[in-house]
Amino acid sequence: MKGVVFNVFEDFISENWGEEAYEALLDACPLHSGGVFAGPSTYPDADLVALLTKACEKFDVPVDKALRAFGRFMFPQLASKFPVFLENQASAKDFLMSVHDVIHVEVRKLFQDAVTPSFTYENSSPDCLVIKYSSARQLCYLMEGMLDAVGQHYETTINHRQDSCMHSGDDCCRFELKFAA
Amino acid sequence: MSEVLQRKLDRERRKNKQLEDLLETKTREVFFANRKLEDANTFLGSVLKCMSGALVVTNSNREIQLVNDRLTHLLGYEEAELSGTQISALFPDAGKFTVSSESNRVEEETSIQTKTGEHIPVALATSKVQTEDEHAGHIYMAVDIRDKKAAEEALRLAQQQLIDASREAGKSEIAANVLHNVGNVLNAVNVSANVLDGIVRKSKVDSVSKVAKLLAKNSENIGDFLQNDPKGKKVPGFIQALSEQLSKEKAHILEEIGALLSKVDHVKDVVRAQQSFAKSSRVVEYITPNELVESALSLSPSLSNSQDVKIQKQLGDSRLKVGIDRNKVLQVLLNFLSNAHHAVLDHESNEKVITISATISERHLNLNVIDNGVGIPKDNLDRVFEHGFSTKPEGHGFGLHSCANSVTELGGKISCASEGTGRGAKFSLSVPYEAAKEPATC
Repeated sequence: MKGVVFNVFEDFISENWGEEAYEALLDACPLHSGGVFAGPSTYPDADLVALLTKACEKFDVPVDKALRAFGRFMFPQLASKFPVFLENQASAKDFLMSVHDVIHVEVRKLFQDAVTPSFTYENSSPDCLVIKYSSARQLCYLMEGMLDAVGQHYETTINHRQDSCMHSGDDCCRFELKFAA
Repeated sequence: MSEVLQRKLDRERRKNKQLEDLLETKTREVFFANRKLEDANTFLGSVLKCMSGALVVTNSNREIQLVNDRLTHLLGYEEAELSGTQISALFPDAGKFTVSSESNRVEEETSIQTKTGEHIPVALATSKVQTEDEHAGHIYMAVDIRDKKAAEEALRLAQQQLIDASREAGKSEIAANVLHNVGNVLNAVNVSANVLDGIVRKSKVDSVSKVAKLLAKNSENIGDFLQNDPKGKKVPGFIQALSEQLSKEKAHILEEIGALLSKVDHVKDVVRAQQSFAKSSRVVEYITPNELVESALSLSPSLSNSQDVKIQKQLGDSRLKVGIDRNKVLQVLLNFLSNAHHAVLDHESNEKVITISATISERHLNLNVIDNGVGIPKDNLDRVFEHGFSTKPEGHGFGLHSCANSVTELGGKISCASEGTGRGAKFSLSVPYEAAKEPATC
């Protein structure tokens, strides 16, 4: 996982539960990285899982809810750090359809060790979109939160429904999206 | 300072140190990557400079992005003049070349346009530039083939000259054979003629006249003359001897005349044999129907230059070459065109039209010459190919008859159709052809 995600996670915890809470999390988790995360570097996924799990325990928040909240928090952070990826996308749907073929491609060009999820699309009508998300990290709850944040960014409502999930043994997590006019 | 702040500051310092290390590593990587890029650029520049072909690279909108020195030298442009220009400015036909996604490459012969508007024939290879899933443009590689074209033309001319020479040589050889064989026989004929001359010169036939004069002179007392006159008494014996002599002469003359007739027959045999040989020696040439029709028209200047006659051409697949005896077929076509020309000129119609069609079907070349001229009466339709039949005052009735003979020799068919006087005519020829091994390139 890239260091930038850890940095956003630190901000997420600090803003919601205070800087002391984040320091306490670092103390409570034995991290491979030693708790120092530089944005462009890559760190073990296990470190983020450990921090997140400990935070859920500590603040008594279910993991799925925490991940959704983290997704909603992370998208505007990333959007402000990398605005170039949103500049040419006029709508939420255009942006989401550029994630796999543009954003992830550019990320892999910049960071050869980056591991990006796979998105496939079914574009059946102008106001609908099906996204099949597939990743070894199985972060579909995080994606739900990010979908909400994308809608907020483009000032539209994205109604999304997940009808299959890797957590239930499916090959991918399938999201049916409907964009409000 | 609070403990939390101190720890955060400490983490930021360690993060900065990590970033500095990362920056140093990345800077080093970028430095080496730049060096590699410069080397690659230098190498690419050398490759472009050394290429024997002219190179053009376009983007997906077919706007020129890159050219090499060979191209700018060939066309007389500066590189900057071409940058951003549409490829069609160089290759007017470039849009026709569709590069399929399967082959990703197409090769054609076309022409490239110089800055001064000159067209240079080139062999052009066009390839797609593909980046991941995106079509990013095209690469055009053109090789100047002016020398090749000149060599091909020289070769074609040489082949044509060779064919013409072989045809003429064949004719000369036949003529020489005929002359040689006939000359031999003529020697024998000459001998026979001299023998006959000698027989006639030495003939005793003049003595008959002398005897006749002697008998006429003594006709009044012919009995006394034959019985008592010394000369008269010799006449019966002389006539007897003369008769025997003349019989011998006759036999000798008949013998020599028989020999002479036999030698004349031999001359006929020689000529017949050489004619049959000449008929069997076909020279097959590969030609497109289009070229055949154009050849015929170029050999009929009075027709092709005529302002009064409209010529319509209906040609099929102009790329397919067929193997035929070009001269024989051309001879027939010329006859058709000549007849059609006379037919339309003799007819008082407003528009004089001759239509020439050339099609290929079932390994036969089919040629039709259709006119809207004077037409042919129904009674004459069956006779137009007969020897000696002609409706023209100056005609000999040999042209179409000769055509029919030629077409028969070629194993083809010739026919004529007309709906009657004043309603035009259609002359048709169908001959089998030998297929070329591969289609001609145009």
